[in-house]
Amino acid sequence: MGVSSFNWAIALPEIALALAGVVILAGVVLQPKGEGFLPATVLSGAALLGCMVLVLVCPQGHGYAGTFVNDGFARFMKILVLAGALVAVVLGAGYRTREQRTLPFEAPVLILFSTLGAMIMASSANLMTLFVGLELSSLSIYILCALERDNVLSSEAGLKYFILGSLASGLLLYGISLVYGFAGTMEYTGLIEAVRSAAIPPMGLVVGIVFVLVGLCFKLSMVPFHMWTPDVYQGAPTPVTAYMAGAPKFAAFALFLRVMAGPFGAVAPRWQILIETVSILSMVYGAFAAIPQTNIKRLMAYSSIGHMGYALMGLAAASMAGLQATLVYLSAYLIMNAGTFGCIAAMRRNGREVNGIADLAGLGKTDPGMALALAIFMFSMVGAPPLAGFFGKFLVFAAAWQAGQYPLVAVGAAASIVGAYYYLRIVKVMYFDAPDQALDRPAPGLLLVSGGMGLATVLFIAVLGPILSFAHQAAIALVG
Amino acid sequence: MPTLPARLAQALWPVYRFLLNKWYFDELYDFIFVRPYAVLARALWKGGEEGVVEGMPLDAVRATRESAVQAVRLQTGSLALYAFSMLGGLVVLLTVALCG
Repeated sequence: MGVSSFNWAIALPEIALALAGVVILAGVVLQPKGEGFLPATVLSGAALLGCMVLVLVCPQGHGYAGTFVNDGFARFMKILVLAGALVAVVLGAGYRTREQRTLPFEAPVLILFSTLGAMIMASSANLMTLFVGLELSSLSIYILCALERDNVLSSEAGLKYFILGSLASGLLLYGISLVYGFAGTMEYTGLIEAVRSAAIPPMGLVVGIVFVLVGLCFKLSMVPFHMWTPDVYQGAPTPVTAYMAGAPKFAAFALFLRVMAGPFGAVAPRWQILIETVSILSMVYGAFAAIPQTNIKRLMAYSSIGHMGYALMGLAAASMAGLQATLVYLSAYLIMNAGTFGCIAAMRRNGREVNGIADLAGLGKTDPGMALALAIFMFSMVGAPPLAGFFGKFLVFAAAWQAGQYPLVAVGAAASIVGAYYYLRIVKVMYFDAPDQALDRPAPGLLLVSGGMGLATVLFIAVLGPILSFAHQAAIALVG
Repeated sequence: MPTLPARLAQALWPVYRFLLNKWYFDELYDFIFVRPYAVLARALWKGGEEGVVEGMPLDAVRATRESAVQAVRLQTGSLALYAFSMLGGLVVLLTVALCG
């Protein structure tokens, strides 16, 4: 691999997406006020789709003086990120604010730029690339959260995420500087050599790794760096929440896996205990704190905290099977999470958005199709076979078991049972509670998302083979 | 001599009673085996089965619900608390990494 060669073609999807973003923004700004949203949405969706194709055909290798890498792992993560963003753009098309207006036309473009940042994160081969990608992704999300400026909850969400996100970025940068101070390089290949050559990892490096880990944990909303999640999820416009629960999480996971399994892989026993700790805390907190929730977006925030804990179990195993399991878990999570948010975005009564779990009462009678889809997603989140969530959970549990992480498996199983309560409560409310006033008929785009994802959740078993081999290749690219 | 048995019974009244009640075997059996087992069974039924075995899930549910409420109370909405918990987590992780 020509580390120092300027192999521009490997970043073709990113370049194309950046150009598309700029062109769409420039084109839509010239439109009359209030008419830019639809063209921006359509063009952004098309750009994301086109980018997916480019990711699949783009050559692999190192480039940009060793700061950028495109391998099987990056490809896997980019497809996940792009799919998550595409779903969010489709959900955004049908979304109306409290004043019955569409979101500003910047929304799809910002999602596009945030996705670009996420893709750069997945392809980083240098700690600086990592940071640039992370900031591009995060800055766009700060704006997206506060996009409904007239809604105080939305502004609060944006501000909170911004302040805490800055703190996390600061910690991450501090960690990077410590690692640089120790190793004298920020390239992953250089770091691998530096880490392997030292018999005992020096204290400065360990402290640096912990700081980097904390910065990434914040993005993944791992306990105890999760505090922003419920408030921001609840306050942000629903399509933005759907986006945040998907693409940026995958990108942060990509970084996590790439940094921890790559440069810091040689000192795995040092950080394994940390990963175990945050994984256990997240699973338990996600399960317990979701129980008293009455707002479904807030519930999904705790649910995502728990799911990230499960996905991290695979990394805690620090094995090939664990990496593969984490990737499959994320794919399953993408599908069921997108579908659930499709249903949540469809929860409108008399044109106004409703988010209470009680608002779903009697949905089984008033809208059997949506109730069925939501029930499928809930059962999948619990991990009931043969739905998508089961395979993800099964693989991470198996990987952790094989790695001898028995306490992790035990806590995970217990948290899973507690978590089943609040997922199944939604099913109970839909089918057994007396129907309230019916919800509005959902927009076609939302039906497409929740219906399509429902099918994907049920039929996940049919594509399990290809996904497993795709994930296996990605894991090999990362470790081997 | 049809009166002989009656006279015999009257003369040896305690012996007669003893034999008539089959050596008090049933009473003895009831006293030694049946009653204690009934008491024990009742204690296990009410205390062990209904109290402990059936109570355990109920206690688990109560503990779950209470800890859930406690867990949510951490989420005050205060930005300072959120940032503080992040830094606290950082310190804990650092300690674990350096000493563990």
